[in-house]
Amino acid sequence: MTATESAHHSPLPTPTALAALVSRVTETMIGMAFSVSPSAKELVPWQQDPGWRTVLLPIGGARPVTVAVAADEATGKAIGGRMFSCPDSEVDEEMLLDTLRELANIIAGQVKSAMSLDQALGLPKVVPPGTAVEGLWRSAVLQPDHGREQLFWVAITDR
Amino acid sequence: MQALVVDDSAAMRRILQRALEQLGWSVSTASGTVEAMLRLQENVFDVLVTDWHMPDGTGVDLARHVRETRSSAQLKIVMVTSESTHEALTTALGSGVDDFIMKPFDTATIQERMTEVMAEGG
Repeated sequence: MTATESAHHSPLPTPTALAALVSRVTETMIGMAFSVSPSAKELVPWQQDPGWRTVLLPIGGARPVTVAVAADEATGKAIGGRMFSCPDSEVDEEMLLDTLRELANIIAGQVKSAMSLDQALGLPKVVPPGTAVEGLWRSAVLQPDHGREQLFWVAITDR
Repeated sequence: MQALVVDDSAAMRRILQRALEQLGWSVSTASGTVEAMLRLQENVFDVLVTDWHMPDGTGVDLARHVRETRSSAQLKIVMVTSESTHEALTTALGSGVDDFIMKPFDTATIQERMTEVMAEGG
């Protein structure tokens, strides 16, 4: 089987696997582990009101895949504060979006490895609130293993 | 040691700058390849630490540009990237990149790797 054929057959990561990929990134970079929330309901972050920020990152190639990450404001600021080494209260909107774009990039790199995708990462794009995003998404709602009631959303689609 | 950190992410610039300053290095930053080329014209650096994918160009293109005038003995180039495929890394090495640091990383790892790279000499 060639690399391309293998990529075509690699299944999308399960929600639990997505959670593990996110947690590997955040635990290494900022000492913050996440797992699938046992109580959170399915959500569509670009339809949430108010305050969810969403970033998409395409992985183009023989098997196009898009990775999405989203966070409510409290979670985005908590992660941003750790990334920027500053209090959460000092994380402004651009810092929050910068944090999500960078996380999307690193998480997409992990997804590429997990799926054996020999394809280039694209650039992350912020989804304006209220904008509908097409795709059949496999998603997971995550929460930090330690901390307040914060939620982080990660998803992947190949359609 | 004089380092230039190039990344479009302000968060990543901050993380890398703090890690290298803790080593006692002097660190300048640039938010893209165009700004990096200006910094490189204005100052002398020992090492260039660059992201791969940036809106105004790639770290690979930046490395190729740098290698037109500076050898590895004059300026080390380290790429910090989420790309991990053999083809991608081969492309980067061919452009003049000396070493890679894969994301995600922690502070201790980046400090160890950067110290190793600079100890290897030219």
